[in-house]
Amino acid sequence: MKKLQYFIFFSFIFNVAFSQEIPDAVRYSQENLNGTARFRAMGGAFGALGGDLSSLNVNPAGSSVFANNQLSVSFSNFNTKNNSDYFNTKTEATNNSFDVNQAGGVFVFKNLDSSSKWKKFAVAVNYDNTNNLDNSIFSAGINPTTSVANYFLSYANPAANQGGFFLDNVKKSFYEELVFSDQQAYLGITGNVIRPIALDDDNDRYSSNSVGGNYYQENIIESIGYNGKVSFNASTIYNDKLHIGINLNHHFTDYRQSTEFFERNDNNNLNGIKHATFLNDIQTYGTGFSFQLGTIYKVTKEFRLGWSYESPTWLRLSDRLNQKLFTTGLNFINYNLNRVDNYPVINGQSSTSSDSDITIFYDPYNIQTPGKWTGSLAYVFGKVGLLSFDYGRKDFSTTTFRPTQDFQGANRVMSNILGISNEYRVGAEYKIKQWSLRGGYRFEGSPYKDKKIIGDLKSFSGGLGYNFGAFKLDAAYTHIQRNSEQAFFTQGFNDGAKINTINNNFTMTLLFEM
Amino acid sequence: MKTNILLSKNAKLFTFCMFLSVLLTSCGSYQNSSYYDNDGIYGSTERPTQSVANNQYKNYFSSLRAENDIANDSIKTSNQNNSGTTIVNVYNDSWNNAGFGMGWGNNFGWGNPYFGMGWGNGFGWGNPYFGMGWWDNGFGWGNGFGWGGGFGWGGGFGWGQPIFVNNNNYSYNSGRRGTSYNNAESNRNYQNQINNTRSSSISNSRRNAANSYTRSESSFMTRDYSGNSTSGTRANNNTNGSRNQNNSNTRSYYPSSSNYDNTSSRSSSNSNYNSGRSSSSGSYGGGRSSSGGGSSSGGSRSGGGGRR
Repeated sequence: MKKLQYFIFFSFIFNVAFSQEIPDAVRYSQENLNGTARFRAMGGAFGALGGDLSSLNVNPAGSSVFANNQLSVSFSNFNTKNNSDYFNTKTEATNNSFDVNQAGGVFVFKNLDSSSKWKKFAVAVNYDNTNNLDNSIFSAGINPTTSVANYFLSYANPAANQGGFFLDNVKKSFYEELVFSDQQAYLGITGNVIRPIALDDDNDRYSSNSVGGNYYQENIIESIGYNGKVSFNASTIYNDKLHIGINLNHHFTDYRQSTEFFERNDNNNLNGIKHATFLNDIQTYGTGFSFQLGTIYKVTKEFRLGWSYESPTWLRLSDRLNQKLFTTGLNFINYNLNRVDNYPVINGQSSTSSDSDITIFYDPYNIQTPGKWTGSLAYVFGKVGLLSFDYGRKDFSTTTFRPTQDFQGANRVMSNILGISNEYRVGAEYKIKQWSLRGGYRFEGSPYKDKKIIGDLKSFSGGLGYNFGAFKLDAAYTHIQRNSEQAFFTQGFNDGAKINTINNNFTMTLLFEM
Repeated sequence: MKTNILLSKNAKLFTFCMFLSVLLTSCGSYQNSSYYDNDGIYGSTERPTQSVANNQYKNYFSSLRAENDIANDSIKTSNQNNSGTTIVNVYNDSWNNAGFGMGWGNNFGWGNPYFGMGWGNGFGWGNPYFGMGWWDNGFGWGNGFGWGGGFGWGGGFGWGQPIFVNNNNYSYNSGRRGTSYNNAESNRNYQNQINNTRSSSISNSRRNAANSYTRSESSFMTRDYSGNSTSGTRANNNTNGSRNQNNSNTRSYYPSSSNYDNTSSRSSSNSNYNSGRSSSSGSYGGGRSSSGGGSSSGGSRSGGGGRR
């Protein structure tokens, strides 16, 4: 009977445990393309238009829309503000970064043979920052029930999918000799955040060493990084009606995230934790490949349809992890002595610093992100202006880690909790002589079925362009909002702050026609 | 380090692309299309042969040439009265006011200009006014354009070195970071590890206890395997592939299961596990027990050389 109770209890634990890789997978599957200022100002609705270097990310057929050779480079200032609400304590953090987010060129070749129906073709090379990952989040508040000890307990105690961690491993093994889950148990035990039920070598049950409730907690997340994409594009136009194009894309990503979790226990306990600081530094980097196909069809001179497909991106990534735990408290057990048999208790106040100052490398692994379909339509009003609309669809539940035998759990969870994300983009442009006025709206659905974890994205944008002839200068402003609520830790500790993220981005593009 | 890898990859691709462009340009009957106030989205209008703006440039540069013809240098020294007066002729260079500010000297060194796109020296914007007409000379693409060297991701944009390096200690871990692959982790079993990297102040006696496991068995696993119904699936798994066969070699705590007795003799598949990846066989219970990869800890030791 007791076993059954355990079984039910731990099954529950497992089901709510969101594994670490899923936010990772979503991070590398999501695009948040800023693009050129014109692209950005019009909400990215360029699938039926083309004629813009960043539009090739939506529809590769767009390069043969260009009338001339063009080079362009874009600079963006990304401003991110995260409003955090953790158990009704409100905090905020901002992050600002400036970057070259787009650079590329297109070369257009017209067919001198006027009898041919293939009027022209174009080749382009373009770099776009597809997701700026610089971010700062600060959350703080008083958690009535859950201590960081629950995180460590979830790795140390027996559960449906794991046995308990034998206590004598902290004497026999070093941190880096253990696999991840054992490392967490090791840190929690040696940091005295969790306490063995019995001080025996073969003890495999632990209890929290931070009790009493109402824990003051802070969580700081600092990240920098980007997902980048270089596209090699070719497209052509047939009979002045049908554009066809292809992209071969090289992706690269570099992401570094430092998190610092702090917990203070203000209860007047006779034993246990007073303060705990848990640091995690993760770096993920790698490269990948994808391809895109697309067409634009000019139904009339004014009315255009676009269709495009973006293949999954096959990314090969590597992880590095560095973890440290610092604690202070009362009546700690000392695991650091070279004693084989006993576990001495130090009376009074003491502190620990984890013996884990080492960066762990993991085997590279692959992520296959979901592919995407986009359908577009646009109407061009002579030479005065245009309206454009894109619809995109991406099924995040198809995201897959490989090798699959290592990631069965993650893949299964992803196919259950991730869903279909619909994206709508609307853009408009109005021209007054050399000036262009632009506006756009973008909506991107949550990649999760449960929109609480990551909500829908809503974005407004506007911009101006001026045509100097040989030069064009474009500027855009983008406002993006998205809510999210992700647990601070991946299992055992499922509380997280409600985050309201607001981006205010400025983009400037210099276009050079030749 | 990794950035370099990217760079070289990109460089190859760029070179290829450049080559392709040159090839297409030189072989085809296609004419490169260029210049002027033309937005492809709104449709083409023919390129104007001469515009007002161009005339301005032309006039400016031809006047510059004319003045240069008259006075070859901009600094003239008057000797007439031996007064030593120096007259400096300052030419009003309208370009400098045009927002370029790039030191358009005599020879147009677009040098470091704009966007640092590496329009470097080659571009041959030579003498003519503002590049107009350069294509009339037959495209100068090939040599002039210099995509290849120019673009310089990586080098140029300063996605620099990893800043992550906050200590010099590294270790390789053959498991996976995260949670949901607990059932797939291989080396649950850390026996027989030899500690080469730690300082000698730590006594070896701590590591002597061989054949110990880091984990106790999960109580539910025992449940699973004691039941006849579930042991049937294990048997299937075992026959499916060699990966599962040695599950029982390192884990001996299911003696009641006859499946393991059967498989224990098949030890030849051990080497399959040395890569550090074990099969998880999909079931939780099985996962915990599939710790045959203990030998991969050898790999992890060799990776840990950074410990000082």
